[in-house]
Amino acid sequence: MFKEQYIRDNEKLHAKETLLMEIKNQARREESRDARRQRFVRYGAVAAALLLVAGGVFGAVFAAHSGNTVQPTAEQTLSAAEASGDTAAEVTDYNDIYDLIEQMQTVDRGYGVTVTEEASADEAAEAPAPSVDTETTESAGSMVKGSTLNGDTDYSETNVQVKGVDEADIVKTDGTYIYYVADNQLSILKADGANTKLVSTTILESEDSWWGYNSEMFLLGDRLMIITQGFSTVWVNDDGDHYENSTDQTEAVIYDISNRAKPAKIVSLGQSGSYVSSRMIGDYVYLVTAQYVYSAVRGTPETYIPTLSVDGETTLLGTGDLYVCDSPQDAAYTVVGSINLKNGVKHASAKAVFGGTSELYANAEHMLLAIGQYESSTSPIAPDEDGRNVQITTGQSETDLVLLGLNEGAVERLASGSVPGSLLNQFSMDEYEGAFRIVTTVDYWEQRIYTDGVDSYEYDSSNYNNLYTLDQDLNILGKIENLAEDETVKSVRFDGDIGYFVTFRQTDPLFAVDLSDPKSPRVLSTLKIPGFSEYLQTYGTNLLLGLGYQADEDTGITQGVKLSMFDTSDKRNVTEIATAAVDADWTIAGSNHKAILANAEKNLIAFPAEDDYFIYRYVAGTGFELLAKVDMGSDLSSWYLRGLFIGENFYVLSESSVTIVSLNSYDVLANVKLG
Amino acid sequence: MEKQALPSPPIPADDADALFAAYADMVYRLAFLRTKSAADADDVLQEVFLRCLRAKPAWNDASHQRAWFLKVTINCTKSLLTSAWRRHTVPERDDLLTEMQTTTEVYPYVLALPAKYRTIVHLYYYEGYHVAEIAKLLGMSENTVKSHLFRARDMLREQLKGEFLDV
Repeated sequence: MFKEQYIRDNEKLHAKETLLMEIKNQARREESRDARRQRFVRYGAVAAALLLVAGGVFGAVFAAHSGNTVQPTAEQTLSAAEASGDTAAEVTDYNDIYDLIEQMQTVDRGYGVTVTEEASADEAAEAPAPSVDTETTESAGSMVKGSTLNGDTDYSETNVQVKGVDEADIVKTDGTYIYYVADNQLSILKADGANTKLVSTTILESEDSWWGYNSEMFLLGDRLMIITQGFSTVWVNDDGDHYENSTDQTEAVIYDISNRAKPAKIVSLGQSGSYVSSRMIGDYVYLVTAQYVYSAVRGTPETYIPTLSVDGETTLLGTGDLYVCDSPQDAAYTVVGSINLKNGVKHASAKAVFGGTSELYANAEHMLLAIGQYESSTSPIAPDEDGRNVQITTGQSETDLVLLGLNEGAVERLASGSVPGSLLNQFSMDEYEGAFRIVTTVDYWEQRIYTDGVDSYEYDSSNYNNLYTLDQDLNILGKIENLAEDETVKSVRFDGDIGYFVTFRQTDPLFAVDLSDPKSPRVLSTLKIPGFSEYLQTYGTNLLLGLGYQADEDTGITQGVKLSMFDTSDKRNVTEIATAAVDADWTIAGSNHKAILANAEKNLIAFPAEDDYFIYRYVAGTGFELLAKVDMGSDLSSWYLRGLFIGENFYVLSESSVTIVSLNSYDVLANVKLG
Repeated sequence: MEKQALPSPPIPADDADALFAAYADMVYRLAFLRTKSAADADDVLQEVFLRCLRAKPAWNDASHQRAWFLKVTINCTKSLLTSAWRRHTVPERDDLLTEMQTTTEVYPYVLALPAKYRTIVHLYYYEGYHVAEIAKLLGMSENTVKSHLFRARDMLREQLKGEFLDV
């Protein structure tokens, strides 16, 4: 019996239990999600992660055994990049980048950085927490009234952070048709309440469609862009060695949908890197990808320089479109490409920032890239108070910022800067009346390596939370630091002069911050309640909606999904006036704001949780009322669950079907099978 | 909407202990088979779990979670195997490899297969995936997976004897 024997043979192999501790230590160090450093950590060198920061620890461990001094290769890299000030950020020759990569790889022993399709999952988790405002406020609006092709019915749009700046999602509607991408197919439906019909089903060509997290789209008139994930491969000749080198590639496939029954592919535009996020402003889509350099080969720029492609025909980005961020740490690029969705058949322009991958915020004129970094310093080995030889390394998270100007497809680098700490997601950033505002969590850690005899390690860490305001040159104007020690930011929402954010360890302080004078931000109120919100959105006038988790006040263990409504009429005394325990243990909506629909005008608060889709409303004095709960259990994938309304009908979409609920009776009117 | 068997929920992405208990051996076994090195398999294991803790992916259910771990393991070993550093390094002596080669019955024959066949054989016989599922995991067409599996079986049959010929 081959199979049984093969299983028995495999069972002799076991993962070392000690690795669990190392993984947890390392994870604690990294804590923050955006400070991704995709590196391999050598077993046995607990501190290995630090080595890529400054070359310090590896050098130090090495020094401890050989008597050599520390070899700060990466520091040289940093200073080389910083040395000549502003101009250092520019690239005159592809070899400038190659040299940086080579230095980085010397430090971490050539373990190139990695990240492939599952970066999509990264993105999913890192993405957005929350968002939505009503039309009464300046920023954001998930739900906006639109005029449909067939009249003046109102309908919902994708829940976006900034009003007027569209974000890609798996569902879009123009009020007449519903477009939905899931499980590798595009479904177009004619929305008509109980008479809703499936108009067409188009199978998408994409090798990695199973990980179809990445398939999102934009809609502009009769054109639809579907963003998917793939690979591009080049053959490399290196010292007589002949092999394939593959790079993640994001494809923006544009379809002509003037005939909804038969979408026709116009062109497929490739951009190197895995998909991070995208925005649409006017006719232009700005596509952001993260390209990790796997194994750069000198003389073959295709292995380490970002590329664009049109139907598979590839071109390299010119040196004039490449920049190096202030303190490059990862052999990775953030690539920003723009495409005219109305009539473009190729990229309008593209820029790439070398040094790491980023979270991003965008409004109508600006895109702010936030590149997660770690900074550390290592002291020479010296005796401690007890006479034991010890080497101490301390470090903390940092975020490099790059400000890009967006103008009708042109992308221009305007400024760069940095703030301590790392960001939760896109909602951690905002721009209002000329000032940028950013909420960060700083992870501070200290590693002690005792070098007498066999090396032993001690590790300690703490974190705290900061808010910064910055000017247009990304200089810090004002700040509030050291809030909520040992807690981390769970959600952020800016609303004009006020910023709200939630930190959490066991209870949930909701901070309200006055930002009316960017030079001196101040905390107005701190509300402690059990649990925490992962998503915040202003809801009508003087109300703030929170979606998150109930938690045990003593242990901090989460206990199920919770809705909160906060009264913000007195900013110095924000109170929680209503809560609802949702009948679910977890919700995907907390990590993906696009899954949430919250519209104060229509008074709808709808989201998926576990395998169900919930539709609530909020009634002053009474609290939250559950209007409908649609069981999507047979579909097994809440990732694809979305809801939208058109007029008086609510459509709940899942991979296999669309359920239509009346907003008058809250009864299910029909169920339309997909595929 | 007829009800199907309820899926088991995924382990929370930040519960390192439970995830390690559930998936560490699975990840390690695939990583070792692909890298043929205990040290590399250790590295890959760490990297896979760190990616999980960093990204906190939103899994649909336990089977999705399991597939995620396998997929990421394949990706991590892929980039490890193609890294310039590794290509120029002489393989170190690996006691675990020697041990596995000398103390198991059919494992050494699978280990001797070309890398692309090894992974498919492992996913098919050890993880119990079907051809269509393997095709999705590896991003290959079903036909490619099938032909690789047939060829791998032929190669194994030439080497294996007696009771293991049912491969």
